[in-house]
Amino acid sequence: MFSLGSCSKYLDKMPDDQLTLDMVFRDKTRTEDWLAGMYQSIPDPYWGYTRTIGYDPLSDDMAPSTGWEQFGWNVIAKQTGNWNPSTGWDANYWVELPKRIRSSYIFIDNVKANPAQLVTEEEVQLMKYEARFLIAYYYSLLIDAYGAVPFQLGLTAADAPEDELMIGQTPFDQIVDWIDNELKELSTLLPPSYTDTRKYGRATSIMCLAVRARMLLFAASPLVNGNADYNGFVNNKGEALYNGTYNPGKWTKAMEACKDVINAAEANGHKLYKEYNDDGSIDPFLSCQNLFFKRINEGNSEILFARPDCDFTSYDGHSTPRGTAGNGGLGVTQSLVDAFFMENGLPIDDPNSNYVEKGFSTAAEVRNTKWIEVQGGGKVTLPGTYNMYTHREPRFYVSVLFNNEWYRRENRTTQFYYGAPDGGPTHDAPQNGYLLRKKVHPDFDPRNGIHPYRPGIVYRLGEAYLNYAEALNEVDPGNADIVKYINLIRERAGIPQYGSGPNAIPTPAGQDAMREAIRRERRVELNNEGIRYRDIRRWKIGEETLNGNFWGMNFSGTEKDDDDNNPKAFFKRSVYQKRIFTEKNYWFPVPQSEIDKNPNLVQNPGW
Amino acid sequence: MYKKYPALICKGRLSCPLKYFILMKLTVLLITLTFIQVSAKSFAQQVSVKMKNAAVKDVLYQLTKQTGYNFIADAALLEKLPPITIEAKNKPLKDVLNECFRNQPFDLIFNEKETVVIKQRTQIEKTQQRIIKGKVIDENGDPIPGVTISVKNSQTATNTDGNGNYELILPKNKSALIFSMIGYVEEERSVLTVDLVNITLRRKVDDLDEVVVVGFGTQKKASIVGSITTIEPERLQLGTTRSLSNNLAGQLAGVIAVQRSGEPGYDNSNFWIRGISTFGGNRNPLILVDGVERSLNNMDPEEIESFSVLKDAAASAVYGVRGANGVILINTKRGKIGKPRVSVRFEQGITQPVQLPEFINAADYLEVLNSISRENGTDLLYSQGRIDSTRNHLDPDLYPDVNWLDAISKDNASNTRANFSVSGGSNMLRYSLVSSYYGENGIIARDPKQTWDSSSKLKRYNVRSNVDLDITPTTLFRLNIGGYLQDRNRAPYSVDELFQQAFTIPPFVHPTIYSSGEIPRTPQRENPWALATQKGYERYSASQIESLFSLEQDLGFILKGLKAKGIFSFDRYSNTRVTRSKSPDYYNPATGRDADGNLILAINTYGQEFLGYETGSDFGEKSTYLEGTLYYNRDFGKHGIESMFLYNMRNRDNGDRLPFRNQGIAGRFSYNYDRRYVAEFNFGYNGSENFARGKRFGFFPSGAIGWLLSEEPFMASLKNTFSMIKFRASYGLVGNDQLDGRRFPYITTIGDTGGYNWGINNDFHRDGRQEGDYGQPDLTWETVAKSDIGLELGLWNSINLQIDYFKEQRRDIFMQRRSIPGSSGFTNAPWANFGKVDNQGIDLSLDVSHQLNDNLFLSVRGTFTYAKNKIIEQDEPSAIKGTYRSSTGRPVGQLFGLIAEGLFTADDFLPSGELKEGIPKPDFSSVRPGDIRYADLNNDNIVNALDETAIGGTFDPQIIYGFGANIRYKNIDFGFFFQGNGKTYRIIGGSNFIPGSGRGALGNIYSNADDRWTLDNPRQDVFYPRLSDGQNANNTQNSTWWLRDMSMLRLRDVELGYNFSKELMQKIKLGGGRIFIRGNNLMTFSKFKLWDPELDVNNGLRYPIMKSYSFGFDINF
Repeated sequence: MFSLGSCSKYLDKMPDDQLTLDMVFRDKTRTEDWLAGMYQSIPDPYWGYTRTIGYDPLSDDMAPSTGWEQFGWNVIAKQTGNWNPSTGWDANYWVELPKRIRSSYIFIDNVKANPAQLVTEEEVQLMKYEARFLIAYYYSLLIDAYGAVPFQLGLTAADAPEDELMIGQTPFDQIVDWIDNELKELSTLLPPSYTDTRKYGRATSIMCLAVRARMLLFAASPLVNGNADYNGFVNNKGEALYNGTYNPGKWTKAMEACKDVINAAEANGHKLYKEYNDDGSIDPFLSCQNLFFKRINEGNSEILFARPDCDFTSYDGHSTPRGTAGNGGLGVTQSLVDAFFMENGLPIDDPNSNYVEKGFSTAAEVRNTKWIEVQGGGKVTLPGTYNMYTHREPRFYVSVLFNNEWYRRENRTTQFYYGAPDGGPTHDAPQNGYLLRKKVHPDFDPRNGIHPYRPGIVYRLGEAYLNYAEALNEVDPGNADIVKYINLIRERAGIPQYGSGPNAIPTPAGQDAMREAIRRERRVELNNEGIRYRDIRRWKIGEETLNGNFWGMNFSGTEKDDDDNNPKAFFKRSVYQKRIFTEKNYWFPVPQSEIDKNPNLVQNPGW
Repeated sequence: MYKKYPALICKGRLSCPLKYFILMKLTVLLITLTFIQVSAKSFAQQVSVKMKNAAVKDVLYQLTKQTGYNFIADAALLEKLPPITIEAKNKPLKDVLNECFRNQPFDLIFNEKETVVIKQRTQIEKTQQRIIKGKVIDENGDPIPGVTISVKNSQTATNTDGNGNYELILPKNKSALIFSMIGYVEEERSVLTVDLVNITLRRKVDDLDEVVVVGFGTQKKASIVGSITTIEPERLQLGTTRSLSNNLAGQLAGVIAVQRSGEPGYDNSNFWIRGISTFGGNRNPLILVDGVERSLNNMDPEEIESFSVLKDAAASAVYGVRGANGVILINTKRGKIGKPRVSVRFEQGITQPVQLPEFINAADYLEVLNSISRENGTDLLYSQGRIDSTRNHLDPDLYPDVNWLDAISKDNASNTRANFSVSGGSNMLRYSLVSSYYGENGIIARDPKQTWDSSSKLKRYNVRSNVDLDITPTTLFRLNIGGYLQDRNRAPYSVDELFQQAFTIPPFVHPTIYSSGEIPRTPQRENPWALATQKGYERYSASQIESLFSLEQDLGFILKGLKAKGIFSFDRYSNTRVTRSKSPDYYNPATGRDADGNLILAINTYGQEFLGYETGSDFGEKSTYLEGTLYYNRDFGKHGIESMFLYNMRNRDNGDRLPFRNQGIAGRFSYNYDRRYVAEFNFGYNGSENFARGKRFGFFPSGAIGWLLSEEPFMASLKNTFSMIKFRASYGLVGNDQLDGRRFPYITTIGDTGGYNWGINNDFHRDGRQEGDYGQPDLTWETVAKSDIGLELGLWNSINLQIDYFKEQRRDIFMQRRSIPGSSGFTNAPWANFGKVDNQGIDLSLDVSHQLNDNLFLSVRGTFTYAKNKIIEQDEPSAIKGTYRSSTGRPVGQLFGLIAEGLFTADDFLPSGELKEGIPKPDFSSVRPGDIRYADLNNDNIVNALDETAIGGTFDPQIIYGFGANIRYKNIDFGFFFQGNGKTYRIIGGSNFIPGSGRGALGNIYSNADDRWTLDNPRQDVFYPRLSDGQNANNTQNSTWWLRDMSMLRLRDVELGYNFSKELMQKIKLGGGRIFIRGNNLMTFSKFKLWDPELDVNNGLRYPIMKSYSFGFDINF
């Protein structure tokens, strides 16, 4: 009837179209696909730092609408201290980055030349270096978030014995040293840039040096350099995970690494991005805005480390007033608003700053700029602007969208009042009276589907300058380079410099004052670039900056009034959120699920 | 017939016939027989005779002389006859003879050999063929079609037609009819004296010779030792919904079923045989229609002839690696001998939601929001003026008050069901044709202003044609063709999505549409009414064709009792879609009116005027099945054997990389001694393409024994009381190769990561790839060891109780490892055959039927199923195992959450607002009096996710039961059926569930909003804790606060029918007629009051289960 002999063949079917590891690496495109998979966890400086990684809202820069918590913005619970080891984190570095690291090791083990498809031995070698760069970079992201982490080089089999799978944390400094050496070596092996424009975004020697400098700066900072809080905090083998003794050599190492980046970058043509007015002066508005929108072939060579593809559409959309078809609830904090310098380069708390908070301006404020987001003729603020927002530095205007500010695309001013087109009661409205403008493209137009492209900037020369100034101030206070590099930033920002140039401000006197000036400059220059949260943690200033009431304008204000006693007044400082930051928050918690699985892990301090 | 007589006579006392006058001599000599021999040519021969008061034998003598005919008669009998007077002239011999014996108990047998036998007419040897007619009805007086009427001790048989009528030609020499029908007590009637036999068949409570459908064949009920539940097909006519699966809950012992949605086309029930016994992916039973794996959802109940559920290993081991989740066998209707029987059924229903959540209106909503502000000490967000304007509907454009549920739905919908079937046939060819129509209109509203129709509706046409052809007396060919066409229409959105949106949008933000015609929408939100009615429509067309060819050969000529059967089946399913959709212009909600009184509106997004066009079609699914079987069933005295050996293979192609394939062999050997002791062995040896070579095939044996105590000789005297007592026990292995989430688990796969771009223009894209699933060559199927002990009890031929205890031990459950740490970098946790689950419970069914008197009949039935499973092993992380956080040792799907101890009171707080020392601090959000206080299980003084433990039970019920009764009095019948479930829990809540948590921008407020904690009335026994402005993470944690017992009891069906009298029916040439009114789901009893507890949703917003009121009729002729 039926023979069982043919039976075994009947089921003898194996999918022949299914990709195997072997096939991947016999094929150029699939090999590059694998490489792309490895690159995938490079942070998206737009939606990543905003939403999935959330470093900007975790800092005191960004204020996403608290109403978005219900849509899975678990960063909002974290802001308010409702954070425990079981709390979800979309980026989940602890679990996600080891996947990329494993993937990179598989790549190194398997990639091979393919002459038929013009993949040369040289190209293969370069790609292996890229893989090694990514492993080191991802470890740097891991220790940045968690401190000491389990550290293993190479691959583990799924059925490996328990002691190979269940590894505990490696002391922080050991991982730093490994990354340091690895990146330093790779910086001599990878090219500083690629002539093939299609390879833009692939690992370069500059990226190696930049990542290394940032990490060493972190490793030299107070959180992990001389912090006695973690004395006695040991791993499963009893090794101390952090060295509680201050080591000035770490600053020296960081300073040198920072200088290495600058030297290498400048030697390869990287410089601060600037645009100029017709009179030859720097246009700080256009410079600071377009720094994020211009590509390298459009004259922007400030970018040292780019992520070419980002979700800037979500970023723009959430920052665009809802009355103009955005769902504008992504704001900035009052703390950031207050951090911007005045037009004269002084902070608002300086007695000479001329800062006036209350009242409304009577005349338009005109500056020398071709920035078209303001009304023609450089009218940066209109008459009737709340005085808090007048006479501020250009970086303020390209970073913050405030109420009653001109909005070019709609040819009207913003209306953030409660019940007004751009305001409450919805959670898609500026809950504390501000929307984010930095990195938001002015031509973004959801109604007409316009989403202008720009690369994501993971690292730029401006940060390298400030990193160097900070490290140098710790190693050699008074070194002229410190002021030099800060002033390069201030010059481009269109504000008076320290000790030189027109309307110069006196150079901060002493190491501490200089440290404070550097920190202020970083806060302003690097706001909403995913950097501030790391700065707060490594400087150990979380308790001062992220603990307590957070302020803004009055969300439920319906009237253009600044009377603190008028409940309907919009322009009055109001608390919108009480944030909590305690000692434990300096590190992310080890996910509870991982603690549960791996008995050799120790939970981070305080969690 | 005649031939026998000479034989009889010759063998008897006469050696050979004599001629002429010997008549007289013989009479004297032999006494018993008279023999008259005449020679003549034909009966038509004319004779003339004139005799007065003559003896019969003298007359015969005369006739012999005239014609030459021989007459044979018993001389003694002839003597007894009275003298006759006869006068005939040139009349045919036959007429004259008949005249002689008129009114006498004699038959005349004319023979072509010029012999006439005169025989006393006895009751046995009636020599004329007779036609017997009659009608067969059941205890309800309803005609029973298809009853087999066979003449005792003969080959002659017929069947009743659709009206229960039959007619047969009674062969000579036969005098008794046997009336038999599966499910009815067989009756025998003598027809010696009557030509019209009307009979009432009693429904049989039990019959050991009844044939039961089992895996790959049938078996006599006596020899069944597996656990099998059957249901009469008419009980599957229970509801008016589309899916047959909705009629299972509570009706079948051992089946746990729940209906989680009422949406047309998506309202199939989930069902499991004996509950859930794996946390692996596939928990669905194997469903075989006419022996082929198919879906039951879209079958019309009218198509079904038998429905069996195979529950234990004895019944299902033959399915081997496919049978672990139990098996459902459905056979479709086949034709029976008889003239065409036609039946028509029609039912029209009006449907309504069982229960929809109720929301408060816009003004009340604003008041609630204001009260939250008041308690928080912040400014009131809504002025009294606005609230009043809203309440008084002053300007519905600016102060809208929309109940979005009402906006998207109609109050009533409808459904229609119609069946038309014909069956009949002859000895050679039998046919059954069933055609059905089902139509349903859903409750989603449409906009009559639109030319197109976006309402949800469904139409389905089923057809099934089964033909049986006897090619030779021992060869049976069967051809089954069945299938359906189904059209669905709806708005281009999932209806559940519409309901969720109707909950999400508050009543006061904007109207459905402005009086000036603009459609408002809050940016980033939806306008539920516009989604339902303004965005076009989508129509689906699905079709299924099922074919089966079967050839059955009786091999009795080789070996008595041997039979072979081959089956080939080809099925095809396809589904296509057309979407015509558009987006209207959406405006931001109006901010006021300008000086001219026009609404101030800003456009939000530009829409389009025309409907877009998009089609979609999927690959569909096709499957072929081939089966060859040998049966050997035979009784040797008291030893009975039933056995089966089979080979089968199946190929299912659903468009996946490779078709899914199975093949294997199966066998059964059942032995019984004197129908008292039964032993059975079953096995399945089969495999699937899923596993590595060498790991593909599995052997699944099972054994069972049974004892029919009631058949023991010493019980014979009690047979009327204990009509059936059967004990049975079984044990065996069954497998499950349907792995969830992973095919070909021995192959390491390459996964996708979403890609990355390089290049200055972001234009060098590469799809991301990475390691996918780690291949493990040893991976294999799940195995379940099932044991079952059962008792079947029949009492007084009217009560039948069947009760089973079962235990299932599922091993090697295919699962992803859960203890591999993240630092190892595996993209997906590796798979392993690791899990273990035990499952045990009981199921029982009880049927009682009793004819109280000629007019009153009563039947009661009930089922009960309880199944409780427990996870034994699931690779739970080491730190959790054995703690209160562990789900090991608990049922699959156990709910977890915090234990709510009540609400915080003002006493719990220091004046600073901090919690007092020693009170565990919740780690979700800052708390105030009125917030939920939780138990700190790990005593770390912090309440967080580590304090979650098992609460309540599982979401799928562990208990399902049903009970009902039917009463018939004369022409009126009434029946009802309740169905319930128990041990089912749900944690309610979700986004914006607590009033105010959406800050007025999101969410509706349920009508129980006042049942809440307030500063003024800080009750503990409230539904809602303190309301907060925005999300309150503390109060929305999964906890016992929101845990609800979702047990319920539903009046599933209540029906009142009237049977038209037979006289009336006959007058209009119909066999039978009945009209009925019926209600489905009319009442639901549950402790949970907010929405229908059976829905699979935690906030009640889903297409509801419908209740229906319907009217219908049945006619047959």
